[in-house]
Amino acid sequence: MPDDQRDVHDLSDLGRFSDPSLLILTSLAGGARHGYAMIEDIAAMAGVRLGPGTLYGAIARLEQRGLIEPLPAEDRRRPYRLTALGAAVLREQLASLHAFATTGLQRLAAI
Amino acid sequence: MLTNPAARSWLLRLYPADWRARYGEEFAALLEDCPLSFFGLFDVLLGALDAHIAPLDANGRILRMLHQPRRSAIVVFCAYIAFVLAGISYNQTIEDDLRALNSAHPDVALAYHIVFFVAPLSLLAVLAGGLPIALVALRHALTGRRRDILALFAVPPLALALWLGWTAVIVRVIAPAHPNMTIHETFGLAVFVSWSGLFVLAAIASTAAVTIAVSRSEVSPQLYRFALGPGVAAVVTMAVMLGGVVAWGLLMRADDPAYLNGTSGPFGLSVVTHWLIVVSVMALATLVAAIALVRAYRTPVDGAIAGTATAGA
Repeated sequence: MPDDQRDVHDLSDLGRFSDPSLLILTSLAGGARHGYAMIEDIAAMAGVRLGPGTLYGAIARLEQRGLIEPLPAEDRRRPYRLTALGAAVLREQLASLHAFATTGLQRLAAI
Repeated sequence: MLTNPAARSWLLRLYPADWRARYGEEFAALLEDCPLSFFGLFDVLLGALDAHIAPLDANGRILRMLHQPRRSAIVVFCAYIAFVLAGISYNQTIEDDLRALNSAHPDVALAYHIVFFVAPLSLLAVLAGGLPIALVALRHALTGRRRDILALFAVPPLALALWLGWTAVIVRVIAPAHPNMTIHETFGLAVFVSWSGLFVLAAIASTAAVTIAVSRSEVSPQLYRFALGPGVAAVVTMAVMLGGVVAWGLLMRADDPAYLNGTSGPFGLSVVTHWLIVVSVMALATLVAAIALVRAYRTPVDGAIAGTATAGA
């Protein structure tokens, strides 16, 4: 994969924002949401409650990479939605996690 | 939920102006909606620091690689302060027994003296790298009449004055009124915790204020690149001091294990527990500073804006 492509597809180089970014992308896969709705959705989905600073640090990075895009604000609350590139990156990340989980479960089954 | 509009406004003002212009309105709305615990508040403060360290460009994109030297210089400075706080704690743990220990165990004394004599070199390295940046930032604040930056630079002397004032109150008022006060009873312990806690808070507030002030200032990338050299010297001296503290504990374990197992300080912790905490903090600080420097040196001098090449792909 070329270097410039790897920058966009590899969320791990986002440091402490890589896990929140994956959670945000997964949340937006269910439809456009604003910040608070994302926090609630992620808490219900993964049991993790993102802080406002972490959420917006990750949103800024995802928007910069073109993985999410803002929609017109509704009463000061701006929803975001997944872009086509964001959906492709999320699919790639989840497939990788799925393969990892499958291998782990197979190894556990053999114990 | 943060119901106080003034508190929300104050939190928002911690973020850079360009960040507020892009995300301020929606972020303020989120703070209105969101229950904000102590950790939530800490998260917002970390977010503000991140926004200063990785700012947005005119198009709202994060300038990452372009500012790696600045980020690294700031991280090394913060790591150094954490290292110094751990060093002070180490010194306080053993200072009462220092003379006896050094005369009874020459090898332990050597390990201690390594730390003692390398510490000023480390400070010199940090000053050599940090002082030019701080002076340029201060000049920028004075010439540009940036009251926000000047207020941030006022935090360290004010924090020091506050701590010295409280120290004077303890020495001149509280101690004479309670001549039998010790750290082994509740009141004495409370005074000690307030005194040492205020020192740590003053150090954290000063470090954060200087970091934000420098982040808001126009300091040339060349100056940050220059600071990387002294930064390497600082990290090397931190590693040497860490080695000295580790050697001190290992030699004490061999020479006088009873001393290490004895208690020290107001909380009844053993000396070895104190030593392990100090070593852990020092090792973490050194590692974080070293990683920051490696990242800076791996960044091209004419670094591009990371991720923008394909942002619209």
